[in-house]
Amino acid sequence: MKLKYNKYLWFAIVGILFILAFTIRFYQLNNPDHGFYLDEAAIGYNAYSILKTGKDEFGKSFPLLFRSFTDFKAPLYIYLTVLPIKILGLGIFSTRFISAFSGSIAVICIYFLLKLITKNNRLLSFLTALVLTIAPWHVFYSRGAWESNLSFLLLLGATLFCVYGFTTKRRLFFLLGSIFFVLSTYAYHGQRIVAPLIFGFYLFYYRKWLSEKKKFLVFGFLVLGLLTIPILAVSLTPGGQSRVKSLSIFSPQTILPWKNQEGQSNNRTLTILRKWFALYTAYYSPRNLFSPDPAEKQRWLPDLATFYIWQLPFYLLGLIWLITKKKYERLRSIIWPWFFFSPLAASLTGDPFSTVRALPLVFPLSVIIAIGIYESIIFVKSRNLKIAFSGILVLLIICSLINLMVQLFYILPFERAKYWELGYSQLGKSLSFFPNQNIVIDNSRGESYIHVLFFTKFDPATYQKEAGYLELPNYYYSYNRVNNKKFGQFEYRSIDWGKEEKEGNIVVGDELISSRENILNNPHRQLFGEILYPDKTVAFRIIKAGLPFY
Amino acid sequence: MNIILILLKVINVVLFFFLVKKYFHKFFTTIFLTILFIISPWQTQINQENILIALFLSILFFLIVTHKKDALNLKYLLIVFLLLFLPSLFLITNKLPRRNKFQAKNTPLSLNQESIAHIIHYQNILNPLNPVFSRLYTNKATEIVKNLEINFFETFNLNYYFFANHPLERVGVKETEKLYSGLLPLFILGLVSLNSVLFLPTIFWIIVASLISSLFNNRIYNIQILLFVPFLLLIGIGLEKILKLPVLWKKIIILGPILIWLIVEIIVLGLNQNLYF
Repeated sequence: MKLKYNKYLWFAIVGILFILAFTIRFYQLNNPDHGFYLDEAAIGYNAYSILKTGKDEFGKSFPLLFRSFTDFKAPLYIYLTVLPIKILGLGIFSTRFISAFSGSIAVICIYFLLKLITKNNRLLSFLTALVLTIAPWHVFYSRGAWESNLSFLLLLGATLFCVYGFTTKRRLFFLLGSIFFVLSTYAYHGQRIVAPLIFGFYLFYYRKWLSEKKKFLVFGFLVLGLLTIPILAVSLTPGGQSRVKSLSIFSPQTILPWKNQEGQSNNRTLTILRKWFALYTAYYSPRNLFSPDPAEKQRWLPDLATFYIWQLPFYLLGLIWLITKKKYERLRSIIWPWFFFSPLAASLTGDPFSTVRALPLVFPLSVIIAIGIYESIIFVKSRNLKIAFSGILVLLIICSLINLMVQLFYILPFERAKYWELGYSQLGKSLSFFPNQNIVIDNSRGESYIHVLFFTKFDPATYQKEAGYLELPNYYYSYNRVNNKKFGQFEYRSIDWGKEEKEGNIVVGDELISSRENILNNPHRQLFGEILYPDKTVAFRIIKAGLPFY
Repeated sequence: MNIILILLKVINVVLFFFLVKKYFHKFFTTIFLTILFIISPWQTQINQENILIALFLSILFFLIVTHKKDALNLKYLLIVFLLLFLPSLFLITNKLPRRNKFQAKNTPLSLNQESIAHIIHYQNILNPLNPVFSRLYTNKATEIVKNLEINFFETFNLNYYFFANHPLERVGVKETEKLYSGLLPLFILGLVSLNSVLFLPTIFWIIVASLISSLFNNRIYNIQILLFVPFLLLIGIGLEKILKLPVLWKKIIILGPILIWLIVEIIVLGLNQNLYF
């Protein structure tokens, strides 16, 4: 007997789910005790700099790629972050806002996309949105300023509009979806490979319908071509290719596996191909998807995998059902390009199982897990068993959510404090107590200048003037870096104690800069403060150097 | 290599040939799988009689269930399974070095110093939140579950079987070379095309073997030999699925690249890397 769902009840359930998605992604987003990574600080400060001066930290006006440390960042996230910074001011929340918002909207988007593809199958759409809502993979990247999360939403939006356009036979929506595909390449580098492949598949799939109106097709390609030109042009510069060159498995520096002392394959091409195949399949392996991987310290939760272990049977069953059941034919045609192309860019880099680069894979996997759950509910015939099954499911979801929250708010800040660069926010506050002093920050073990700029809200115009060392015509071409910087009262270089003592500088560094005993026994140094990690080890020491302090 | 070892290997090959001959319709599949069985590093690297006998028992299990596939019921399946699975498990584990044995001190069911330190560490982190919750969140039971989970995924990992565990391999360790990566598409295809009569025994064997391997110490790779035969059968099912395609060019387009890649892999990575001797 087909169940008739109450429309309003569904409205309430889905509404609660969206509220849950927003809450999980926004709760304590602003908390500096959870860390704030270097790249996030760079995004926030560059957006602030654009807002204030129309230029990035190096003084380049409205760049198409943002130079940052050793690489170039995709521009869209930074430009979009200008708005929350304008409204809320420069801070952790405003920098992460776009990502958290994208993550929340993605849940809504996935619900309507599934509803559209499955012709109003509310339960399956709800389950897919639910799986995405609680997926550690998606929640983790929604709670940091990750460009890949914005690009994921854009890919989802693109698919939604394309499918909607085809379903309602309105070509303008299909064109809108296509524009979203192009925009996703402005949001994250990896999508320069993934988006054209998914879009290409849809073009091929809908080719008959699309070619019915040739004029519109030409117009569409013209629009897309115009939008693509800037990113294509900049992609051909050394800056645009920097990530590809440094990370690609085809790079000569790549260390190849399967070499041993007794004999080895000298055929590099073959070994690279096999290595790529191994890296690619790693993205589907249950071991990587459902078992915590300690390899990625900064980009992962200590004791959670991309999905929860109880979802493993549903993943396997869902995969079999998706492949074999005829009713999923339409869904398959939308899901497969996502499923097969999403990890492609990630697998071309040497890193094993890069969750950030393969983020779009979270969509097809959520659908597969949801199918597994959905079909299991249908498979259970008895009403009592159905209730018991649903009850167990709800219990598992609650436990999973509690686990996720504990990992995010307690375990992660404690275990990964160094990787998430805790302490800079407090350092920024502490340094504001010395407005007229020369402050020297040790740069021998980090790139902390961007954190200092961010947390002190240093005037971008002044910074560009004082530290804008780069020749701007070479912005996308030069890899020159200046490690020592001086801006305002801050100097960023290695510590020379003789010089610091002579000039009476405030010195900032990690625990290796000078031991506590050394400071206490040295009359030329005075410990002004220590900033500690949650495990009570020293993150920073603030030391006053100068004439003997007695 | 001693004569008993050679004899056991020959018996296994012959028995496996009969199994696949019975299991599959196409003679090409039979020959293909038998050759794979002979040249697979998973089999060639075995140099212990007990492992070979365990492999023999696993072939025997599938031969019996295939033989009885028309009259296969759950009770019969369970009896055959217990009669063959348990002795093979015993054979694999009883000759392990003492330090690796299935014994209380070394299994995931008992906690080592590292696990205890982990519990204390996590409880210290969560104590300010709520002492009761902290003990509920991290305790002996959760640590055991975690250990079991890690062990389970050592077995339940496609890359371990088809890519010598890359990208998580131990560099230069040949023991993890099992099946060629060219076989993975056939394996996946076989998994999703598994027919209903043999679905239960094959999946049951794989799941039980994977679950039981979780109870042993980490990286006891011998246990996974029990998965060799069902994996080859799945590869065979995948191959047969392609061979059954009605149009010749479709067969060539799908199978051609797979076979070319496989042959190149066997020659370049197999022979050249000296996996067989």
